[in-house]
Amino acid sequence: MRKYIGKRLLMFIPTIILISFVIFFIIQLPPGDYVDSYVGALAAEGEIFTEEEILELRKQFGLDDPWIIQYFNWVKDIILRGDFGYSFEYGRDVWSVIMDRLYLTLAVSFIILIFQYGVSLPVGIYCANHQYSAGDYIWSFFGFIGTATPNFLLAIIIMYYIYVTTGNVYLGLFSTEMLQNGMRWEYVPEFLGRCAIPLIVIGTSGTCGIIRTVRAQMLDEQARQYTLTARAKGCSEWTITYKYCLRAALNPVVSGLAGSLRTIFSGSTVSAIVMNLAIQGPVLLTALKSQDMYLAGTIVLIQAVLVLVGTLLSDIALAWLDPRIRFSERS
Amino acid sequence: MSENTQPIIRVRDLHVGIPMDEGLLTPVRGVDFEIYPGETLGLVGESGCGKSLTSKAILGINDNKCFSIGEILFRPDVKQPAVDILSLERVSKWKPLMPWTITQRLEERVHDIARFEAARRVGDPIRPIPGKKKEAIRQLRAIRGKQISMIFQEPMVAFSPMYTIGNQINECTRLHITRDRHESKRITLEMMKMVGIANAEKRYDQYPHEFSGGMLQRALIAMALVCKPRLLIADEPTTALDVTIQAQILELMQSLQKELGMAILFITHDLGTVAKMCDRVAVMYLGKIVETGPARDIYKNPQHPYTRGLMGSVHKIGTLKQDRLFSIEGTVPLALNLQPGCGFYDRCDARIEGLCDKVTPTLTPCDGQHCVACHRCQRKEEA
Amino acid sequence: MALFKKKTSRDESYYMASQWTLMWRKLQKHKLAKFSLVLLLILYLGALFADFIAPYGLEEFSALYKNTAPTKVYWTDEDGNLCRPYVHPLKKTNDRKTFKVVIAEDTSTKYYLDFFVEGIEYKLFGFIPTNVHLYGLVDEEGNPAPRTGSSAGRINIFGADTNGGCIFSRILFGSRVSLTVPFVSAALSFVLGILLGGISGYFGGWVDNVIQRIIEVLSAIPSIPLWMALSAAIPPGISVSAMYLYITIILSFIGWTGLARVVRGKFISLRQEDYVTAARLAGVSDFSIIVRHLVPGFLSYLIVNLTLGIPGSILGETSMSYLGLGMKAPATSWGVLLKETEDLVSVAQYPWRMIPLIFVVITVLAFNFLGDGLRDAADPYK
Repeated sequence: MRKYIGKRLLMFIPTIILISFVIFFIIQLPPGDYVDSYVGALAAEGEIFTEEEILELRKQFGLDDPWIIQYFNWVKDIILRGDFGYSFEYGRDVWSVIMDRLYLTLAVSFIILIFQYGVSLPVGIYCANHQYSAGDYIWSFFGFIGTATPNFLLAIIIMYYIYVTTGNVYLGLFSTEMLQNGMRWEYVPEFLGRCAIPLIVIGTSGTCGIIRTVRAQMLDEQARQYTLTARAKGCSEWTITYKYCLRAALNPVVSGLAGSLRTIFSGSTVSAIVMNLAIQGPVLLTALKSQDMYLAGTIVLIQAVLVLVGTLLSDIALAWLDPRIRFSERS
Repeated sequence: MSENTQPIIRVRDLHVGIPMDEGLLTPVRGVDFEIYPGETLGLVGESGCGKSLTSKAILGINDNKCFSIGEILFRPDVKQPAVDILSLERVSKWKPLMPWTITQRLEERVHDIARFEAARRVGDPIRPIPGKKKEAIRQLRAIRGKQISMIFQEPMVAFSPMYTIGNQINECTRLHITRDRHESKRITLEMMKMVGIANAEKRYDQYPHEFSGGMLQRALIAMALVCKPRLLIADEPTTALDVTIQAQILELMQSLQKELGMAILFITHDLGTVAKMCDRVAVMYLGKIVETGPARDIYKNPQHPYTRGLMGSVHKIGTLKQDRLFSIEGTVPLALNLQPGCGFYDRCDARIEGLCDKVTPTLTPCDGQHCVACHRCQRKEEA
Repeated sequence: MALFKKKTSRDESYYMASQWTLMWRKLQKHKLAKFSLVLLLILYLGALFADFIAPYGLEEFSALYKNTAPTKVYWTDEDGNLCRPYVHPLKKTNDRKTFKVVIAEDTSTKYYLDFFVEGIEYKLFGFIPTNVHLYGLVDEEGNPAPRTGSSAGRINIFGADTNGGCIFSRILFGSRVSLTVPFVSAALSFVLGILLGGISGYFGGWVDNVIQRIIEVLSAIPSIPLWMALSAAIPPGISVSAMYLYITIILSFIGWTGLARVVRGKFISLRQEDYVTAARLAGVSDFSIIVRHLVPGFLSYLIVNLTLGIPGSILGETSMSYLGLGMKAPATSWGVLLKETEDLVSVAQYPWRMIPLIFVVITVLAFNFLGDGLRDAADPYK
């Protein structure tokens, strides 16, 4: 097992390097660079730069090199000094900009992940055990509506509903008092309440997917011969469901962990912009629009690395869950 | 096996139906037999003739989409009253009638009434009292594995790949014999050794994929026997194995039967095995028993054309190479929307036009315990 | 030996039917999937005949009707008797006392609802020039009502947008983008997926390794950030059709990875099947084995995968347009229409702007149900 994890960790490094390369390549694709958009913005206000000044600016930001050199410099700085580059837009280094919101982003994503699995596992099992019952249909209906509505519009609809019923606008994760007084224990309930909307908005689409997987898998497993053996032994239906079927059905759910993380990051990016959440989505959008490339690149890179970590964790969990995988890895 | 001993199980007019979009599939259409303590009944037939469904009905573990009608009376002990496993199963699967299931249920009922002769008995407790559901489940679970146990066809898929063999066998012990960990493990290991699993202590902690097919079959037998059941259902226990292991497993079963004094329902399509194992034989074709009687009688004097065909299609050592094996033409028809008449009519070489395709023959005695369901044979008797 | 009775043809056909026939039969039994299929056909026909069905063109807006609610259609005349359906046009008047501009229904004028009314010129299917629209308004004499300007009489069954354009017409025109982009990008990922997955699975070795790494990398990056980054790279000020092309490519950029992985897995497992070995021994060429024996083995599975992938692309397109990274007005798509709902205030004031959402939801649901039905049907012997 330890050897297996070690092997997986080693394979991690080339993948990350490849990812950083792909991301940097995509980020630098737009024609022009930050200096262009900076100069353009100032020109709109009537301030005109000369050619020399522009060249000077470029040199100062290190944007005069070909992109491949820029990439190498970026990676070199990350590896050697933990320096993720300089954010032109914010005027300070990228890491400090990211740290502003990193913990909150992680916390929100983590809460959503827990919510997704916490809801979808029991519901999926229920639906499989009560196939074609009213509950099954009701959950499928909600599930389909959840997957079919774009996240950001669901956000608008829910916020509108809350506004109409309570008269409060729950924009963002923190109230003004929280921001003024800092985080205190008495604010926790309200904070959690404010978390509920993004939770529902971002969580639903993924939740429905997992419910459907769990349901289908459970039905598959229940049709297997070994459930018959277990029943013939005199096992209770509870044992058959939870000891035998669930453990086998968890396999694709666990391997979908990385996929869930991806959808959460995806969903949170757009929804955060709509709901004005202080997480990294909105920062990424502005960074992309103003060609603040190191900042945008680093945000996407961090998300990708987290997804990779998710993949690793799910692989380890799979090996723990399924003895067959464990043995095939050993040999 | 004298007349006054009580049979351990008595199956009466068992029907199993599966409603499908195309109509009603009736794989089992009125099966009667009984098994006495200590004897082995061989249930013989081609694949798809309803053997497995019959055997699963005895344990009440048929799929939810199947529904069974009839009576399966199980009497583990002379002093105890017999229980009807089928009605227990029905109670255990009882669900409150919801508006959205009513139409479905009604359709099923219509199928019952139209297609099933057995459904004429209106008194059948199709929808029993809900309050007894828990009790029914408890009773069924106490029978399964403890009183009646089953060896399945394919050992490779009969175990869950997620748990060790020991865990899965021991589960049976712990359910029915003792909750004590050490004691149950001791019993389990003892049984594993008894069925010939070498190095049982080590094997106990291994997973199914580390076992060979033969070993898995042994483990499966150990699981079926660990509670010393009164009735063992062996559903083609040796078809997935090669010949040398087959013989070992059969001998093992026989010696265990002597030791434990249990009855065996031996389901197979292999007549050689039947000759070796069984006291009595019932031949099934298209969901019905067409011939039954002591094994010796059936082998020496097969009556039903189907049985004769089966006997003719077995290799015998010593026959000449030129002698062609006899084969029955055609295949078993699909038991879908069947009309009255003999099921074997299409393939029979002794059929009586106008009778065999109109009237379903019933099982009638022709020679002592030997019974046969064939118009031709009955005519011969009468003549 | 004995003759045997021929089985009824119905029983026989079940065993003889091809995989596709069985699939089709099974799909027809899946009522929801069948219904979805019909719904999707209607939507696609709507997109095809958009110019005909839509009463107004994209450029035909009337400032008078800015942000107005769905037009009220009257079925009864002043006396309360049932009559030919008509609408009142809006009229702008200046209140002399308060100096306020009042826009209200002009009850003195009636425009009647009629079918096959002449309107803006267009080319049906791109080559049949005509000016007939499915429905529209006519005056007493049967001449078409003015569509723009200060005396315009309009019927906006789903209300009007900020420019006074008909939302229903825009939904129809938008569906041309929103319904075909996912389809084309799905087809593109289909080709890419089969090609790259097939190469990967068939050749193995370092080719396989490289493709696997690329897939791994692409599937580690969250899709919307990736789409955002890619669409940021679309040069500004390009034509609508070029934009369309770019979006299609971007959407298929991720779609193919999952498919390629499946194809590769299937190739590897099928390669070892006995029937493939048998074909090879019989002297069938590699290419022919792939096309005639391997691909049919999982084509149905791929089609199911494809159908289930379309909803994701639809939502992706709306998200991108919503963020201002996709189609931009005056070009229209459902995402562009939804972008106009923008915030709480506008939703509260002009709830009819959410109508395009209904279309998005219905389409996505229909594709989901169809995919589900196909998945069940793809396993015909079950």
